[in-house]
Amino acid sequence: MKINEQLLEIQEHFGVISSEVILIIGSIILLILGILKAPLFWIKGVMAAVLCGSFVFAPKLQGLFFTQTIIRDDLSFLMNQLLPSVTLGVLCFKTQKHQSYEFYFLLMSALIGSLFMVGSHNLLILYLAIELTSYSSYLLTGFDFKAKGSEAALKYLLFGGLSSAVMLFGISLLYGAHHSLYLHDMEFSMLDVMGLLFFLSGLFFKTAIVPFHIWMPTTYQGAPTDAVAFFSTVPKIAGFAALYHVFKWANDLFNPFLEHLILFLAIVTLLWGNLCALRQTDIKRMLSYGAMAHSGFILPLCLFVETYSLFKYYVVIYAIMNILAFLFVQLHENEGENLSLSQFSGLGMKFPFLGGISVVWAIALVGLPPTGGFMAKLFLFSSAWNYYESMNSLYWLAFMGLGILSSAASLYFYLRVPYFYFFKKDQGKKLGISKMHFAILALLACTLIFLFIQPNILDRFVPMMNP
Amino acid sequence: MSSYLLSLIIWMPFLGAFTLLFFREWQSSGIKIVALIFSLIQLFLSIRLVWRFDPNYGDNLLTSFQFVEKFSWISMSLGSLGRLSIDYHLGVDGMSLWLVVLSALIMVLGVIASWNLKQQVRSYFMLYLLLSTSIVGCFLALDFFLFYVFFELVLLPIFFLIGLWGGQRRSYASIKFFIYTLVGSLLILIVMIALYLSVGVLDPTSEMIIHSFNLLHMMDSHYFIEGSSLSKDSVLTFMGMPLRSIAFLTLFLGFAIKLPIVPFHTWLPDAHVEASTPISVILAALLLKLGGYGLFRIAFSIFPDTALHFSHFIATVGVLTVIYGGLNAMAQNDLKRMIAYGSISHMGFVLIGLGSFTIEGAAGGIFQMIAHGFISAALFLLVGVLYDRTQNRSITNFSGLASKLPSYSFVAMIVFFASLGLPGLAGFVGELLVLMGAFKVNLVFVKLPIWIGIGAIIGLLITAAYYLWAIERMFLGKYWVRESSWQPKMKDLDTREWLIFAPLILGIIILGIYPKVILDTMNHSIELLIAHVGNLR
Repeated sequence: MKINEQLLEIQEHFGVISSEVILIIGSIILLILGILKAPLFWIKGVMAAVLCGSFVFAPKLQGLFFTQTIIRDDLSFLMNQLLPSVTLGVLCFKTQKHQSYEFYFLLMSALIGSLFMVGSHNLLILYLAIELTSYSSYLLTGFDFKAKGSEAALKYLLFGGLSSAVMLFGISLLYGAHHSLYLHDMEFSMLDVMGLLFFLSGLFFKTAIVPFHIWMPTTYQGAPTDAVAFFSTVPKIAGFAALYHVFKWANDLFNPFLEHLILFLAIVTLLWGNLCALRQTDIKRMLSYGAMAHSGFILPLCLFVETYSLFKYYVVIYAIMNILAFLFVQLHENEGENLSLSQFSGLGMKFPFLGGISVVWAIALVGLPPTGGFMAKLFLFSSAWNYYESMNSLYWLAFMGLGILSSAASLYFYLRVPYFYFFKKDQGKKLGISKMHFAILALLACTLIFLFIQPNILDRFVPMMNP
Repeated sequence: MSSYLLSLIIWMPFLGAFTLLFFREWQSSGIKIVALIFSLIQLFLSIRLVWRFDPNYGDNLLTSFQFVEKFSWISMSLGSLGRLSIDYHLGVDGMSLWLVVLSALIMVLGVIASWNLKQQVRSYFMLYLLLSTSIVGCFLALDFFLFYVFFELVLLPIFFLIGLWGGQRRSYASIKFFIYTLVGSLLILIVMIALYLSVGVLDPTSEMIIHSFNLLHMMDSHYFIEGSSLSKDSVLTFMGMPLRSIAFLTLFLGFAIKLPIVPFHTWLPDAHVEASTPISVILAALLLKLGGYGLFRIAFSIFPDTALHFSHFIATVGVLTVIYGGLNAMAQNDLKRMIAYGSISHMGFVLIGLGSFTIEGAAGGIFQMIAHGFISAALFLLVGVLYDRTQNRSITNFSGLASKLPSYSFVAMIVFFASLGLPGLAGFVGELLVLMGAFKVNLVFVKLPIWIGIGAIIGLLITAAYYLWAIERMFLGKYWVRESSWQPKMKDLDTREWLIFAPLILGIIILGIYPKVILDTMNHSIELLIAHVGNLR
């Protein structure tokens, strides 16, 4: 294709990336507003409007665009709606000192990177998207300019730098083997297993799968809570979506080695996350280990195209649960302090409503009815059993068995928040929570319960284009 | 109206909990009256259910359910897994009928027993009514998913009811209870997933397989997809055992933790002892029955062939539970702990009855559950009466109560004797039937080994021993209490307490003298269940 033809194609297909374009324009507006010293309220309002815009104008297309570098399918449509909505949720967090226009600008750029991560069909674009997300994340981590945050940011930067270097190396190996960077040209065989592993390590870093998870607890503990809520949802879900695309296009050649490796990592991740969380006293650290265990649960769903609807359901529920949990935690924080579990002591008698909310997100994260978390786990284990049945593979059975048993362990630590809330003596902590935040908490909790009663509502909101 | 009777019974307490939202914390008597009214309506509706129940309905297990309500609840596509369909599906038969009545009655008595509650009244009764809904829901659900949801929903209210209104070590006990029983229900979850993926019908229009959670489909071998992991022709094995056996054992373990059986019983004494009186009444009288009912309705009805295969094992576990629970009870000094271990021992009889695979044995198992519901409720209330007065319940701290508290001792004698199985009282009938089953040749002409029956009789002797010993130490002899400050507080039963005990005592005596009331309505269903086992063998 000639250059001018390619340019024409790009011009024609601009609507394909309408969400991203809206977000980019929006982030520039944010910068201008910031320079003009607009009040924070305005900045948040404009950002909310931009996010809604990108939600509404999410492109509903199928196929490859931009000289085959951008892919549009059911998943990318879902992500173009889900990720901005999640970011909107992060925007609703309590106002704290670190929030400024720069903070929100970086949040936007991380979101844009995440959307490109989902939409990329080319390894180089994928790499650039991951870097865009990562750089914004490093900065967001240290945004409250405290020692703890700087330590977290530095750790994050070092591990991130290492993993992206390894990933780039893997991509170059793959390029050498296939003379192409397009996903559809990849055929992962045993020959380029090194390239594959190196490449995947970059995505595993983003999604906090076990050998690449070391940065996570410290980062989550040190970063501002709203940024943590963002990290644990948007880039992570985008990473999983990218993994899904990679496997979808490259797994034509059925590869049991890859499947077993992924399952093994998933099992280790969910066990490690759930067991480490048992000993935590810092609430953000505890939630971060819990989120890690959920990474282990989501990972096997990326393996096969058939499990798309289960993947969709799990990811949406996961996003809602996490936003709710972190919002709940942030509302209890005073400026610049790290919340430990004991600070929840005895609040349940004064604020039974908040106690009820904490029960909802705790049992949702464990996966108990009547919350969407239960349905997500039910679907996940159904597909695990199905694969065990059809392939008689013990890996799937082990994943199911250990997954279910570690859920029982996770009850112990998630339940500690309601436990401290209701069963411990009051320590006289004061809370100032606005009516609006009460409403948001109630809304999210009701959504979780409603998704249990009517899980197929998701299919109506995000319909499948090729059922 | 009448066809929604079961829904009304289930959701009436839920409506009550909703009504309580409009009350303020200080309107405590109003809250109690509302809770009482809604529980009474539930009791009234369940008595109406008995009235209209036809004892000879249906000619096989799958068609023997009455008052059936069935609506599609969730139907969604799971990609390659096919479609999943969950129904709101209720029904009642002879086995569940009396458990529903029992739970409605116990719930009413529980409200009266909590009448003196002072702190956090509104939250207490809201949780209490939610608990009532989920327990009755378990007994009436005919959809595995619905059953499982109710089964899990029981845990949350109980967790808070023990943890917030319990005794000294309440938080430890509540967490232990929650985790033990959650492990049990997660085991059930594994089997539930395997089962619903094995059951399905082909939808002619969309050519997709519709997997349903319908328990009746799971009991019927025609609905199993050919070659699926849990169908009868399945060849899949796990560690050398057929998958069906593994699934049955997992399900058995899941329900047996709740029942409880011996190595997994340790949550029970803690939970019972730390809970307040009304809650331990509910735990003993109703919660244990969920495990037993699950075994009957789900584990045995779905895997009859496998259950038959393991019948010796099940009966052996039952005997172990009877004897071990009894010996533990004998060693206790705390009266409530003694009764809690006694409950474990009595639940062992249910397992023996099930394991015998005879009509007598199975009927005895169900009867034992209902009789134990009355007896254990009365026992825990008796402890509660003593504890209310003295804040103490050590057996050795009291002596000769019969001379000081005559009516209390009268009630206690009846209940203790009923519990140790005196003929003419409720406890006797169930145990007798179970023993008859244990000594009889069952429908496949296999008999349980003779030592199982003998072990059960030894268990009965142990039960008699610790109850008689407790009677001797506490009620006979010269009147004496450990602390002199208790002297003025040692008053006999008041009107409210009589109000609670009267229906229980009446029930215990009626069930003992004229067990036909229950056995006649139950018999047909039990026959169908045993025939079902025979057919599918």
